[in-house]
Amino acid sequence: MSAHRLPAPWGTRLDRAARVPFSFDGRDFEGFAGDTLASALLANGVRLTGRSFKYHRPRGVFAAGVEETSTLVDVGEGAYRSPNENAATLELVPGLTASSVNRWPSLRFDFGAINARLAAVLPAGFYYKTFKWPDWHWYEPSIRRMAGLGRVANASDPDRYEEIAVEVDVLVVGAGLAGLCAARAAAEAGARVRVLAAGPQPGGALAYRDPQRARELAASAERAGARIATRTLAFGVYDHGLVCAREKLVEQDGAQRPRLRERLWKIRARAVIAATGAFERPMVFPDNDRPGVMLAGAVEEYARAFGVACGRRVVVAANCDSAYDTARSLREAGMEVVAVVDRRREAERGRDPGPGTRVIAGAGLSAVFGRNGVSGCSVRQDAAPTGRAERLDCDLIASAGGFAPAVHLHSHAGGRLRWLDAEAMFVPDGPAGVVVSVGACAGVFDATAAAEHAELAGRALARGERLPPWPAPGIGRSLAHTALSGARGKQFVDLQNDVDLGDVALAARENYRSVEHLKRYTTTGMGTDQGKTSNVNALVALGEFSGREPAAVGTTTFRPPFVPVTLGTFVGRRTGALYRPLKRLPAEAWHVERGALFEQFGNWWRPAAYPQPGEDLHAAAQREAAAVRRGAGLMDGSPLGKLDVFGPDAAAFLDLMYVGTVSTLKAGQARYGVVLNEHGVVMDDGIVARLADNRFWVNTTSAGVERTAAAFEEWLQCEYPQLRLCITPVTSHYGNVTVAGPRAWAWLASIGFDAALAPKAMRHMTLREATWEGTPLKVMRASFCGELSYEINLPVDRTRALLDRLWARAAEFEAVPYGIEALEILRTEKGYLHVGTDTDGTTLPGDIGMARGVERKAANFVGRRSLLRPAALDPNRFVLVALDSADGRTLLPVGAQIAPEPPPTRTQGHVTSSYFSPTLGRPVALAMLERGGSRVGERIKVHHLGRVIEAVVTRAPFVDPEGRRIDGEE
Amino acid sequence: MLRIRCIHCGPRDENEFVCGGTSHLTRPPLGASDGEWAEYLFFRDNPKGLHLERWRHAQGCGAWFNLARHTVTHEILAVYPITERPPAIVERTPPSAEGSR
Amino acid sequence: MGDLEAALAPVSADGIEAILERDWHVAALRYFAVHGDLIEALAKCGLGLPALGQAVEARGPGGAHFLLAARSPTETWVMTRDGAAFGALAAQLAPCVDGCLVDQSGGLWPVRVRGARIEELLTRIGSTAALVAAGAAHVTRIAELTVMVAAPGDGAERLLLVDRVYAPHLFGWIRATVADL
Repeated sequence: MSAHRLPAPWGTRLDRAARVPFSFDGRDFEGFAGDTLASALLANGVRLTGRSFKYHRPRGVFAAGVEETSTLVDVGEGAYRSPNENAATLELVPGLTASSVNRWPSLRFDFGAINARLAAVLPAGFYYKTFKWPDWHWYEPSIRRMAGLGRVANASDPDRYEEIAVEVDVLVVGAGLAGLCAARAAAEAGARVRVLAAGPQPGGALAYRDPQRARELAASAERAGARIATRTLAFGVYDHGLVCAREKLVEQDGAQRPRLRERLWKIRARAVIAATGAFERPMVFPDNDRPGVMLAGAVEEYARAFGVACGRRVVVAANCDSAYDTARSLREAGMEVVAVVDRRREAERGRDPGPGTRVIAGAGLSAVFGRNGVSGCSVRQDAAPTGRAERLDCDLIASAGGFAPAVHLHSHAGGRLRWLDAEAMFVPDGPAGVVVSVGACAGVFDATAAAEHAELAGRALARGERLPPWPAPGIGRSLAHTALSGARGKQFVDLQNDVDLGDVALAARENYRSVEHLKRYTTTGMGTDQGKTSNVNALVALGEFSGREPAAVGTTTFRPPFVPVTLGTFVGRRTGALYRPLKRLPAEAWHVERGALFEQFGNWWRPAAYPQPGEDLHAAAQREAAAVRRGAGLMDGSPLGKLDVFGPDAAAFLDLMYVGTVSTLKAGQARYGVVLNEHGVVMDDGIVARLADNRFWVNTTSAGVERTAAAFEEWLQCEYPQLRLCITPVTSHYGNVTVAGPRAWAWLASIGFDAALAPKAMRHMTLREATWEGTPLKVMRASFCGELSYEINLPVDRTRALLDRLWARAAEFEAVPYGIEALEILRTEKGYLHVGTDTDGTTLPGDIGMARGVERKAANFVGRRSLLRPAALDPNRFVLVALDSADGRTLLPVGAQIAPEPPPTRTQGHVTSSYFSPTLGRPVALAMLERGGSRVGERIKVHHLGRVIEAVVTRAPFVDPEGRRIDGEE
Repeated sequence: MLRIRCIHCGPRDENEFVCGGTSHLTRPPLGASDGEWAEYLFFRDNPKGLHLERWRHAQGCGAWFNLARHTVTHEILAVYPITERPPAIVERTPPSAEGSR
Repeated sequence: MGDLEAALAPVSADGIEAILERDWHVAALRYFAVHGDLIEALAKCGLGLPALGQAVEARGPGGAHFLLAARSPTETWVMTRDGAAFGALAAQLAPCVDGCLVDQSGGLWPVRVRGARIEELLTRIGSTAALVAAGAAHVTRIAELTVMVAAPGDGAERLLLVDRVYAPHLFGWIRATVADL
């Protein structure tokens, strides 16, 4: 094999004393600490590292940074498997286990290679044209299986992630020469400066070209006060100076234990200096994707930073003066530079490769030999397009096509780009919001000029002064289009997605002339690299095929993230128990001790039921509901929303907020109320009680308390700021024990409740303040189940005591704890609606039987005008009705549609609530039904997943229609 | 994520706030025609440029206030109390299509 | 979902501690304008309304130690460990018409956070708005909840006032974050 290690001092990042064992595709290898997986594979002579996405062509390491696309690997096993990691940025650690992707059964013998022979039917956009007859669904599974590269783990991510927020004055993204100079200057000028380096050490290219200078520069920046963060990559610039970065905390070393893996940085910066460098453009020539074709700068980086010579005999394909510096470096490393094949004419070259190196100017590569690895190439001159091509023996082709400044952060911030004809590159056209570019990413390549400009820029930003002008690129001339005319074979533009010049030509021919269409039609630039090495070549080629200059073709818009980011990094701590904030009951432990089955209702964690041994949820709910109707039960009503409304204008305000009238309540009286929005739609309901002249106790639904309180606040602050009242949510201040059933009072009396609260003394829908064993209570007689019912509100730290005392006497009254499921059964038996279940975003008060209440109220209220709209007065509206199952047995499924014919047809409504009634021994249901009010007694059809169930429209309540049970046992 | 300057609390992250839509709407009286009422309920301007809107500092001081925002650049030109008219704001030239998102 | 009491146990590690303090009486003072009989009644108790953004320590009825912080332009939270003084304050304010006292002792729970690494914790569970200066207090978003952060006195410690029903969620974030500090 031709790639090999170089002796020290080559390999500035290596610690040769620390050997690192790792495995790739099941084979064991060794590298050094400081290697990346890619450099270690190269050093071990591994030439074949991947198979291309579509054609499964053999590929090898191509680049040395985030722009690498040919060496994507899956790392780790089991739940720790991380797919599509970039081997060129993956730090080598002991135990690293990696496997190549997109090949079966192996890299060397990949069945997918058949695709290369099918290339004619797999061009860009093939799935729009082929594999469609007789039915494209036949081919879809196979095509889908072809897609994708690595494999995802089949288990939850066991690692942890966190986030952190920070504010800085100047954020410098990139710790190369320009970045460090800017950072030092800004820090010396007094700014709080943070520098982000994506790799394990600062310095950028300087770190391997002049390590001593890089160390000194970083140290001087830190002495000035700048903080340098490593392994932290800024992936996006967002609004108002927000920059997000991903910090890698551990590397994938095969350790199968959960760790804090990544940290999301949310950085608010007054100014952002982008010092992100530039990507090298690949040259376009036939078979420019073979293993052994690499970016020239990468070849140099592997030699200097990692001590790896990527070959022994190299041909440099050049379109830029940088190629000559690279040629010199490679000769220093002991490689034979066979020739520099310069695409540009003699007059356009600005550099010499040094004595002894052959230069062929005005020429390009017309072929590459060697399928699994470069073995030679042929060169043709522009001046002699039909003459004989000259064959050169080589095992490495270094591609130096020019540079493309990494303008991503500038673009995220909305910045504009300018095309430079001479250098064939897009550069930032001035600053973009708070983002100022320096160094190569600003199109400034001369080291001295870049360092000086960066210092001036850093100082200016720190002081809030005017920015210095940008110097000239200083990089010499590069051609835009590098392909040889008349060259034959696959000339790749986008390596990752296998897009070649032919695909670009096809797009142009089919009139996909916009660069946006080119991208989507050919998929160029849509891979994990997002076109870092393909964007410019692609748009230049499109320009060639459609007769336009590159500046006229333009680029697509760069959007965050700059590199793929683990989903866990965005999720952070929001998993498992912390997935969403859940509200907890004050005496939760009491319910746990009673065997409660907890579930999430809205954002409350509360008992659905209390199953006894052998019971499932359904059986428990049936038993509990029956027990409440027979004797007594207690429920934790703490989640019920409670608002304290105080002030001289409280009554008038509530009259505005509610459909009913609140101001006529006397102290101690309560009334059911419904709140609408301005569209007249029912938003919330609850009981309002008057505590005093200027004070009200407002109940809302459990799930709607924040929404309703917010609506009240909005009206108060925005529309009625002159009204004197305040709304204070007090739900959490109270515990609530709701005791219901015919024997509810007897049970309460048995533990010492004041006789003034007895049903004879305290009427239904009233509120009394009382004490029990010194504990102050607010007791309301209100019932959602239809039985005698007391809602007892008391301090949270006394809730447990009340529960314990009641429970001690429960057996005498055959009393049970009951949960939400039983409550739903009980309230459905009474035909009581649940906002959001039996109502939706269209339900008006008239649809739920409140039309007369609206008519009776003369005063205005929120939503009133909307109740007079034609849609509101439409006699065909869906209204809430009660349904009996026709056969008395079959439960009507919730959500089942009602219509005379089976679907597809127009719906006449749907079932909203449905339970088996233990009281009646048959199912009961509520539904929204078109013209339901005039269809009582009618037999209707309910449709569910192909079944038809017959039901009869009836009147609610199903149980105790006269409401005689409300005062309990006499 | 925007950085919004609450009129009471100063600059905070956008996720502390709730947006309340267009501000300074005139509610037609009860006697308005169905068309006027529907116009008020359902129709809004969607300007490319200056937009006056209401925000609530829900996870802060809870106050409602007005805010003038450029809908393309998200530049916040002013914040002012909910009951007040907008201050004299000079409309900036909207950015050209090339630079906008 | 795990044991509730265990979820509220103190968090303790090198340089950081978070403890739920359940012995405070907390109330919301509500008012329509900064003039009116509520202000007079407060003054009679030796207390005044702080400016928005301030955490004020004062001596109330019987010389008891009180902490006050404005939650909004129409709401101030007041807290004390002295039950008798709290009751006296409530009684003094009961007849007011320009404002009222709403007991929130069961609804607002203070979590005391102390240690050298307070800033590291707060910027991980909240934003930089959680870094309240000494003598300041304001409401911000922490652990996705609405929380008041107060830095009474010299600001060495912080008090986080959180809705009781969400206290386990806040502690969950703190515990998980501190474990990785």
